[in-house]
Amino acid sequence: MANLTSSLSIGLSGLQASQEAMSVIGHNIANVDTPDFSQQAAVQTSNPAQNFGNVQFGTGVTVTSVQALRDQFLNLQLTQSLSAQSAASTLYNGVQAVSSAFTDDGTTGLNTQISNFFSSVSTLAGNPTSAALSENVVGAAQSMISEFQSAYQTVSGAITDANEQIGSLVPQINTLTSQIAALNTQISQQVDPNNDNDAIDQRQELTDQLGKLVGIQVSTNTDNTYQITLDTGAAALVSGGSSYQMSAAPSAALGNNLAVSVATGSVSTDVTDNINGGELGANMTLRDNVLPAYQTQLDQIAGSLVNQVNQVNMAGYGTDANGDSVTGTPFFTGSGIDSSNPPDANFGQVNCANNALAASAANPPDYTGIINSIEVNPLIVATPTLIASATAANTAGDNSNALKMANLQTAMGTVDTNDDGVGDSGPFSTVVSSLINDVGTQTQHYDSLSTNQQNLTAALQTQQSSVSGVDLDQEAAQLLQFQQAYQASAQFISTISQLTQGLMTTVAAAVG
Amino acid sequence: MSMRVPNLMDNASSLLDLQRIKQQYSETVQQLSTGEADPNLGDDPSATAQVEGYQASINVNTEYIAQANTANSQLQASSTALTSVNSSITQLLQLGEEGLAAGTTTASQDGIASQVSAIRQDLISLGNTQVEGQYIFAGTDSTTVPFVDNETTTPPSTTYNGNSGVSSLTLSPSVSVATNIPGDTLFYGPDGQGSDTDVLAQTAAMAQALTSNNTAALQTAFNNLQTISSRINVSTADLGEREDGVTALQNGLTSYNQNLTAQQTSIQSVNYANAITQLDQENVAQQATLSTIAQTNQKNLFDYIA
Repeated sequence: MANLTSSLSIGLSGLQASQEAMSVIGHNIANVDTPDFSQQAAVQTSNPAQNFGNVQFGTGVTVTSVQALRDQFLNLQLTQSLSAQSAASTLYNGVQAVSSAFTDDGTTGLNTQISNFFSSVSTLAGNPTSAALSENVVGAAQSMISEFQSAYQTVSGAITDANEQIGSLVPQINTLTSQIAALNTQISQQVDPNNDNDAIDQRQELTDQLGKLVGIQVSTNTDNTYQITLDTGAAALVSGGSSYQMSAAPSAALGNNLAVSVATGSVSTDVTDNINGGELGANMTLRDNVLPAYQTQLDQIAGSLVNQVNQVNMAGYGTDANGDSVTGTPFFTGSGIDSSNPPDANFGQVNCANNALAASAANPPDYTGIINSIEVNPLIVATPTLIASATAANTAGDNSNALKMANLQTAMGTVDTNDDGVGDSGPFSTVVSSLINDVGTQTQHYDSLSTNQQNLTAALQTQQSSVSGVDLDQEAAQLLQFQQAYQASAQFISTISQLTQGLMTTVAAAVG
Repeated sequence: MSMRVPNLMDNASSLLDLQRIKQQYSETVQQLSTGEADPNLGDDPSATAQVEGYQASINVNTEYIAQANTANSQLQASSTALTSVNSSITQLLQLGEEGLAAGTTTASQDGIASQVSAIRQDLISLGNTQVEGQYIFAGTDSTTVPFVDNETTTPPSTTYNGNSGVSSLTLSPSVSVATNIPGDTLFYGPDGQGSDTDVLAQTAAMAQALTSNNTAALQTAFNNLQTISSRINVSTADLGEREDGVTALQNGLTSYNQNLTAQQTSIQSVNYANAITQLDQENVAQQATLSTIAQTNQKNLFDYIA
């Protein structure tokens, strides 16, 4: 039968269990603001009974485990959502940063400068022998080139930034994967890998951080370790206690931009084209797709402008410093423009693979980076009257060629958008507006995507928090509950102690 | 079913709301300070595209208006010169009538011949009229003196050193206007230099007829000058019509641009009344959210545990 001594043990187990439960509450309260912390609860189990004949007497209580309240499915969904939100936000910021280079306020902007150039040519047509008006055309052309180059360089700067971001993200990713692998090892070495709650929460927090940096897929192994791969499945980043290092190195194929590889043992896999989500994926999308597409369009517009204006200027007649009629003068020159001597089929045009042949789909012009090299022909800068206003020689007052040049502004079929050397779109202002619209639409798209993803993440965080978050009211109520249990156990021990004391006194008196 | 609402969650959602309200507030302030409804490219790309489209049209029309101004000033210069040519021919015809009148003495005919020769010099000067350094009757060879007098021949003749080129200016994608009349067309007429349609040759012929007292030749020159006068009148009227046409087109383009600018402004400009109301609403929402965050974090059960 149960005795007073065993009752003391029962009381003691109650004290200990309450104390441990309050310790768990304290841990919860301390981590009320810790990201990804899952509220914990002490699981109390009654101790096995002792048999005295046919009667079983309880032996108190023990805290058998501390369980964290978490929903693993929600956690993984949240990781994906954070990754997508981070990517959308990075894309938005990247496009938003360059969008200002495409705005047109009526005094600056591509369309304004193109318009100013053709307007100056049109004014020259009104008085084709005016040196001052020819000078104005040169000035307007130089301003137009500067505007193109400014927009182009803004985009180039953003591409460089994205590339540098890629370089700085890779070490951060490696740090996180190493930490996650270390936590995997710690978790798997526990007797019960599901009970190392704080390590599991830390790992989830690091996994969320990793997801923000790069798109990942997470799966859980039977030993409760995480298996993490790139979201495309192209390479593993973490497998149990092993992490696989990512590296970034300049690649000639990417124009000396950084290519990203993942090393698995001695095998290095190039994953540059297989990273989609997170900041890394977004920066790659910006660097390799979104921003270069803007540059391509700028190059096509500028290259087409060079081709069209040069064709007209070279066909007409200007006047040199001696007053002699001169024909065949390209208006624009530059390293990307054919300046062969003697002139060949593409003289004055944007360089083709084979300049001896006319530009065509089979012999496409290379507009890449043309903007950076365009300049007004130095001969024309020195002698602006070389601008060919006349169609025939020795007709200084003939403005017909200047009119042809001015009319390019509104002509269709002036812009080559499929790189075959033949204009297939236009007028210039429409193509520029289309580019501006593209930039604006993409900015708006990524803004909406970012907001939507933020909403989704917030909803998932709310769900996750409702399962795992620490509620101070709940903790306070439980604290009261366990405080009372502790006080009751203490009172019980005191009572047993008094009974024992009384018994001892009675026995001592009887013996004495 | 009730849902647990832990403390962290309260703050997170309230802070997200606050962040969005502040962002919206900042955008409204930007609208008010710039006066633009969509100051950023991503605010409303379709509106931006519309504005760009209007601006491109306005720019092109502005160029056409400027071309029309230039065309009109050039046409006016030619018109002014033609008016002078006309009045010279009128004087020539008066002098011819005097020469043909009965009883005119040789001495007086010599005097008339001198006046005719002087008028011929005036006509050559008019043929060499310059505007802004350009010879307006030299065709497109406008830096060359078009008419050179040759006094060594009898009667005196002229050489035309210009060409027959016609300059034109573009006033719309489908309209261009000729802004000059080549000197050979105007002064020599359809039959060319030295012919009956050549005003300078017929003037010289009139002077010579007067000097030689050749009434028949004087009558012929008189008749030819009458025909030439009619032709010059037609050219003057033609220039006037061109000017009227250019002015009408110019007015049309100016009016069209005003409409385009109005439409552009209606898209581009912020509606101040709406924006200010929105700013007030966002201000209230911001204060309410701040107050909510403060109150949410004010109390929990621990505050009541003694």
